[in-house]
Amino acid sequence: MSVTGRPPTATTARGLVAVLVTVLAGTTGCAAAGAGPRDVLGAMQGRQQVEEAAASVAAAKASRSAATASGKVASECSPSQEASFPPLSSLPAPGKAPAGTLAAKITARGYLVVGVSGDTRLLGARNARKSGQLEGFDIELAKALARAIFGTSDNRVRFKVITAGERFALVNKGADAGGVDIVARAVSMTCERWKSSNPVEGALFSAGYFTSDQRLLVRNDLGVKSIQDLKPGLDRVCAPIGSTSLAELAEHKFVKPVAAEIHSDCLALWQEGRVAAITGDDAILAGFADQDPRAVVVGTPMDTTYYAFAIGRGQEDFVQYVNAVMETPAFQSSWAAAYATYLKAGLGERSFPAPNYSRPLSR
Amino acid sequence: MTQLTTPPRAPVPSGYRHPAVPGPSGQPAGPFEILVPGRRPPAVSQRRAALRTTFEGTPGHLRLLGITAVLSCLVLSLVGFGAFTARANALASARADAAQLIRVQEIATQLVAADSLFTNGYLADGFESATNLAGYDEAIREASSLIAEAAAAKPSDARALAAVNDGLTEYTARVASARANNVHAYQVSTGYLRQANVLLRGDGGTGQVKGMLPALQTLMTDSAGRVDAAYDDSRLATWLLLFTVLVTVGGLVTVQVRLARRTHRYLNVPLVASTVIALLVLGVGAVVMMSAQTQADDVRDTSYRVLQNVARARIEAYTAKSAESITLIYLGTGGGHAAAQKQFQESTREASERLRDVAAASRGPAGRAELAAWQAKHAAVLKLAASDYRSAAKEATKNASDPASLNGSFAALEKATDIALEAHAASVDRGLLAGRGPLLVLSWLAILAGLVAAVSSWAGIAQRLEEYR
Repeated sequence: MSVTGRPPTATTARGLVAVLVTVLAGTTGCAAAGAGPRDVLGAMQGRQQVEEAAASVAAAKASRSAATASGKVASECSPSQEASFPPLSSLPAPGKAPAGTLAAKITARGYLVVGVSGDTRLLGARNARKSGQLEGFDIELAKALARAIFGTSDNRVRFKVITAGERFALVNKGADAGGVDIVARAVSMTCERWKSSNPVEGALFSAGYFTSDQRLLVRNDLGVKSIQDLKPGLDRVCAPIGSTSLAELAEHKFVKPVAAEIHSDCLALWQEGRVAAITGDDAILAGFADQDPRAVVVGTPMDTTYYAFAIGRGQEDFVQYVNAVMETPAFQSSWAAAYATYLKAGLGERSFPAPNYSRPLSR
Repeated sequence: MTQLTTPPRAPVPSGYRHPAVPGPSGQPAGPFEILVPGRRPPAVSQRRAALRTTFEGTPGHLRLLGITAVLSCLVLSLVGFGAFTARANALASARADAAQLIRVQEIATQLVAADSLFTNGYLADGFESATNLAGYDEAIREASSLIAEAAAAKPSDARALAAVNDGLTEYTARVASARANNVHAYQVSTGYLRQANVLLRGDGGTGQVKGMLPALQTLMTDSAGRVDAAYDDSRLATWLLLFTVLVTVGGLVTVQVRLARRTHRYLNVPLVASTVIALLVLGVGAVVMMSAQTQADDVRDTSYRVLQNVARARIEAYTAKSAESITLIYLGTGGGHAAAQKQFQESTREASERLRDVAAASRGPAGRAELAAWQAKHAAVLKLAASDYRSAAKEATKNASDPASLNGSFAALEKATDIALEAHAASVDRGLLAGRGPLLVLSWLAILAGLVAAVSSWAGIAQRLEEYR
């Protein structure tokens, strides 16, 4: 799979909040974000019905088509979203990071603070059967980074479970100010996130460490092989609110998008038969399929996302450091082992993505 | 409609008989009156004349006074009965509505208690204690039973309670799914936990179903409004009693004054007896009514208010307990723990304010110290979670039988408020029940007294009439 080229339509979908969901209280469905103070756990419903707002979907589609036709997005996204800064020409030995860099500060501190997910199975989740310890593909990659910095990962990584909404704010804040040094939480590199000056909305990224395709999770007894096989009665597809996956559904007019606050809510709705399918990154869907033997991930990729470590703004040297670590055989060996342990069964054979270092340094 | 009118007709002399009109067979059809337009039937004039004669002169005047006295006494029977019954019924309504309010509050309390046990057990990663599981089952069973009881007690609430019952069925299903998936360490369990929470607390805003607690809050507001209305109705009875006093006693006194003027005899024993009877019944009635109302007002200003504060404090405390567990769950899984912690702060603040009012009104500690102790434990566990999540989760799920544990300190708060709740609930019930019995006795006594006074009054007038024969 190419890591530099991707369909222009997929690129234009980024950042489009294309689906307006109308929740009909008392039936089924999902809720909008920003619920009242009493809404401790979010807005997911027991009985809801979410219907697409046709006008909004049409507007998103029109916007997307126009942008694609004019090549506007291609010119706006240069360098491409998956391009990171070039790695350090030579990686310092463990414990020998150049003075004044973030890597040196981390070395001096004695541990790396990593923001991770606590409920994304196979990527980063607590395993209640193993005393609640965090495990997953992202967790293993973070440990591999710590090994490069300290020579060992034992007691050198402090995981901080964070929400998707917190990831950029915390990494831009930095570990010494109560945030984190780096985020390994299935973070997608996007042009908007590279460019945003808002510390809550964007950050710097390492080179991509995984390419994930947007696909579909369905029941394995329905004979559904792609999104085109969805038919009336089996046309409700769930995705998290504000996600690019939800926006992508605007391309498929026969689909009724159902928005949930987080991915786990979608799986609960799917298990209850309230939605026929879930769409999202296949790495995440593989984690869902691992929780339900009736689930299967199908379909040709609707979009491709690039997972990378998020690093705070102003830390270009640390991005270069991390990219240099990712070039090492030790890291790539760890990657292969982690992939084989967590994702291979669900996603099949995949290899470490070819890096793109075409982003120029600001200094 | 056909209307027959009688034309003017010459006066009929005394002893006149209507001629027999032959029927179709030629035989007389029998005596009957021929109504001729413009003429009055002579019997009406006779009756009017007799009536005029009855109320002419001194005997006639005495008869009018007698009728006035009897009517005044009948007002005592009817309106007095109405006044005493109205207050008794109003107090009964207040008691019934207060009981319904307590029932609905207890449903809400049992639900939040069940939720606090579920969420705390969830933290134990599937190793929920048997005590927790049994406590949850008991709370759900109690809530379900109370829903049925409340629906039967107040049919007008039945529809809303049926919706709560539906919500309870869905809630328990989501809890079961969350537990089952949590046992397998499946992350989808948090999805079910979130669903259960919305079914319990969803505010019905955009994108939300209305949860059980907001629906119960509406019922609580309605019940409290009905209690207030019953108190207002109770005060109406005072005006009815005042009306009875004015009409009955005023009527009897007026009759005696006019009788004395007419007959120059100043004392009519039966009439005086009637007046005394009326005064006695109304006086005793007024005292009993005032006493019942004062007692009811006291109940409302003391036990009832304290009860409301204790009940609200308990609901807020259990809500905070759930929020505490959810905060810790989300600290471990990456959910919105800040919102949950905010909920904890808001609920504990509200509980603290309510318990402060309780302490002021009942001159007792009422659980404030226990609340503060639990908050201190909570802060310590949260601090621990920042550095050692797994130890914090373990500490947060320690058995409540350990008084030094987080759950142990919450159990102390539960116990303190439970004692206050039961004491004040019983006090409200007793206070509103107390005046009802005497008022019901008085209402029947008013009927009897009115009838006796009416007979006695007429007897008094009859004595004077006899003197004119």
